[in-house]
Amino acid sequence: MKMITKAVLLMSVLALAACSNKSDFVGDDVVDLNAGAGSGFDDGANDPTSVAFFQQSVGDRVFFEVDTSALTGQGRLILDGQTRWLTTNSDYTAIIEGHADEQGTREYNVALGERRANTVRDYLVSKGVPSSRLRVVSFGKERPIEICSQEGCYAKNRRAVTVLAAGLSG
Amino acid sequence: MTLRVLMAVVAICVLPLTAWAQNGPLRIEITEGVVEPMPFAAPNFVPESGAANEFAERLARVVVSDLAGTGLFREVPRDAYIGHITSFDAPVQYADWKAINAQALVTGAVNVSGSNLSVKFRVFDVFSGAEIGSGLQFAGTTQGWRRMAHKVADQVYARITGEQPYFDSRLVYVSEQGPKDKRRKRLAIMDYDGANVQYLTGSEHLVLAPRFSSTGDRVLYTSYETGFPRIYVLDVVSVKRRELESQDGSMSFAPRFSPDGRTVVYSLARGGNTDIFRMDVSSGSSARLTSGPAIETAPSYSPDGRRIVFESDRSGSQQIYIMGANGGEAKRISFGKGRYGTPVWSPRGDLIAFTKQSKGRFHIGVMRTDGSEERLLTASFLDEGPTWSPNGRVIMFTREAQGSAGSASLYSVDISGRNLKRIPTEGGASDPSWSPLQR
Amino acid sequence: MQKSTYISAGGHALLLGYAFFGGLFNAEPLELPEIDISVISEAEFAALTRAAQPPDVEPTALEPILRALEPEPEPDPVVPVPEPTPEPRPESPQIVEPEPAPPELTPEPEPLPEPVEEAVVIPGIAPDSSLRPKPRPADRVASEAVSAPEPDVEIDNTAQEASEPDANAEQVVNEQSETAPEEAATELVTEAEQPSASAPSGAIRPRARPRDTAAASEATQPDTSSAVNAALAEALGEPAASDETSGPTLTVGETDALRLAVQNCWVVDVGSQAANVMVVIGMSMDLRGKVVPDSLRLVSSTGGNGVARETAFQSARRAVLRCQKEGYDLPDDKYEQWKEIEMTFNPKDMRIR
Repeated sequence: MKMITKAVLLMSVLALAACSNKSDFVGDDVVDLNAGAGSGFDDGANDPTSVAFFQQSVGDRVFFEVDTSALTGQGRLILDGQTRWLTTNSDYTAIIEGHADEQGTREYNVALGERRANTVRDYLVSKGVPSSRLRVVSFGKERPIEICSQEGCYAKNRRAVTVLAAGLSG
Repeated sequence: MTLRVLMAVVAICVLPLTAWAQNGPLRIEITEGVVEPMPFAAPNFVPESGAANEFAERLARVVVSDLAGTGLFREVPRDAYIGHITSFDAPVQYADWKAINAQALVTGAVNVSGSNLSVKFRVFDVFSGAEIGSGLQFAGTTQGWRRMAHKVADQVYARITGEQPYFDSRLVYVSEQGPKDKRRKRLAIMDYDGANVQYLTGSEHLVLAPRFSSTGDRVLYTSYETGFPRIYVLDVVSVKRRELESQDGSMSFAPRFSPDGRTVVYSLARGGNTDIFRMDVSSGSSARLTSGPAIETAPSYSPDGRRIVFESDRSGSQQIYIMGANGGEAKRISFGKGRYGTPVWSPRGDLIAFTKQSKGRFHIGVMRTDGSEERLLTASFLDEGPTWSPNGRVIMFTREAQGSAGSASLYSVDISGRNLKRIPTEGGASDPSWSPLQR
Repeated sequence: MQKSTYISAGGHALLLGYAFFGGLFNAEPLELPEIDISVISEAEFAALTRAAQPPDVEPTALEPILRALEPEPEPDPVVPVPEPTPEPRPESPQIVEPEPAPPELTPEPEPLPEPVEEAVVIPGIAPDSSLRPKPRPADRVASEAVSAPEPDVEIDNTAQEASEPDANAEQVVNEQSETAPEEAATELVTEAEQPSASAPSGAIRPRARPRDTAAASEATQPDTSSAVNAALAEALGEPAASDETSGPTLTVGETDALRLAVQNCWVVDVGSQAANVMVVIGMSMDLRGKVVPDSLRLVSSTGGNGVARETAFQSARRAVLRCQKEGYDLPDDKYEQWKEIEMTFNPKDMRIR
């Protein structure tokens, strides 16, 4: 048991070190890197060029109101931070993942998540991040973070997450 | 007052006529019946060889379960039986079955030699004292015994109800495991009643919404195996799959075959806008059917392939529209309060099933193709994604339970709104798609 | 060897049929329900319509029939031989072995009458609800649900049921009656969790038509003698009509009793195509009030396709035969009046669409 935990942690560290942060959801299995960084990797977060710093200090996600893809004021602030970070760390590309809460049909939510992800992308591009560094994907309601069926959980699930990936920019 | 006088006058004037009319038959009109399942009996089939013994009861049980499962029939408990069927060819003692109020009687016989199984059956209308249709025999293998039982039940159902049958059919669906935030999904296929489950994909990639072709030989579905939602076609027999043509930087999902199986209609999302496209399956050439900034998705062909029903939020909320198979002007057909999505055209062509969200609840409903006569058949925390039985009589859908421990199950309901029931599956299940009747 | 040839031939025929006609099946334009019939294969259709012909009860008939059907060239689903086996799906990643024992697989229907609310058709939007007679007043539903599963019991429609109420059904029904349709539907969940899948055994229709409403009976059968009687009864006062013992006409009460007796046995599948068909059946009665064997015939039918009409006829015939028991209660002295009867079975008010 402990061995496994350690192995997982180790792998997480390696993954972070390699700056190859994957999507929360690539692979259903293993480690949620974003969450992992949040709980146990404050060291990495001190390095302003680290993925962990991006996730925690800059903020990797913005939230949306019910059935809309409009950015909130808070969301814009976070995206401004993301823009600065991405401009500084120009080696990174990013995939913006759009998500919806479970109140809605599967197909519609995929489309809605795509709208949200694109809103974020368009905003970043408008602030100067080259569009070639950004891709979008939508998971609809398939990958909630919180699993209760109340607004408190829904609010956290209606999100767009900017997931960093190493890669040649441009 | 004056009416009474008038009636009296009329009555008196008509009196002679009445007397004359009395030479004709007495006429009465019946406008009220009862809605209840018809009691029937299906004793164990008669084994006509030693090896057939084990199938004698199993076949009858499946036939009973098929029929009773429709909600239109009710099995008379076997311990009530007075008569017993010991020979398939002996004349039926109707009085025995009348006495226990069985309105229909199904008798059968089974013969096994080696791995070959043959089943014959008859259906009787007990109160008319007559056989309905004629005896029939099916031959196959012992392995396929369940299908043979479904075939028998299909015949009985069709002969008594006058409807097309549907028991010998299958479902493709998404089998689910794990909690909501770590859910693993894979494609599975099973008999309509939940038997004979087989998995078509692994669960390493997220898969969504499989859809049968109208011949039941292929399945379209959406998979995230590239990291992005893309549409795949899977051959049900060989379990080989291939990705449909797709464009980089876009997501494609919500696919459905045209009735002739040559075209796929689907949604493509790009740049924050989701529209409906169609693609020729063999050439991969595609055409755009809708445009505009709204979310347009969940397209479904009419059975004649000439029209497409879909959902769009162009009015500001999700509503149902119908357009020609080549796109063009779409006509809105849903006008109720709430949001309407995932429309699916009935195989009979007369109804459209849909998911409706209203006041925080989900419903499965049906409406005519002009949007009239909307009826909601279910209500729950989350019901969605209807699919039609091959005869257009039953709708199956996904019901997801509320809360952190919630999981998804398949349910079916008769289009009259009766007979709601859960389809037994191992683990969670969602996104059912009903095959045509097997041949 | 011959058998295997048959099987093989059958299998090939099926396969070919599947290949060629599988597509055709759904390619057929299904715009109107009527067209639906074109979908069934010849053999199937033949099998269905055979029901209409004089019943061939001779057991010996089986052999010839089987022979006759087997060689039929059409790719029909009826001709025996389901494809050898649906089993082998070669490379599927993980195959869970089929064949759990039948009893576990299939939701065993319990004879429990299904809670009636399960039948709830939530009146969504107006147009439909106008057609239907209200979503079932609760108290009526209750009494119906209780009595329904035992259609044999002679039920006077207006009387309270004699058979033992099923406490269970009663409860659920009451529950429903207190809830608005929308919430009633919630119960669906509860209901579904009990595998009482068997059926809505409750009869649900609110019974309209108390026996004495002359206006109603006139409206529905303006040209029958009973309508006139009704008018007479209305006009001349109740006793007058029944006073006419010497006269030959049946009273409204007498014809209504007959109608009620039959309608309690008339099982309507409201979701079916047959529910679009109105049939008129004719019959001759003997002195005891029983239908003369073989006199029962289809006089006319309106709406639906051939199969639906046949089904509607069968259902009407069953109703008449099942409820006659030892004979319908009709006045002997007016035998001339009811020696011949034509009954119209009109499901218009019952069907869901």
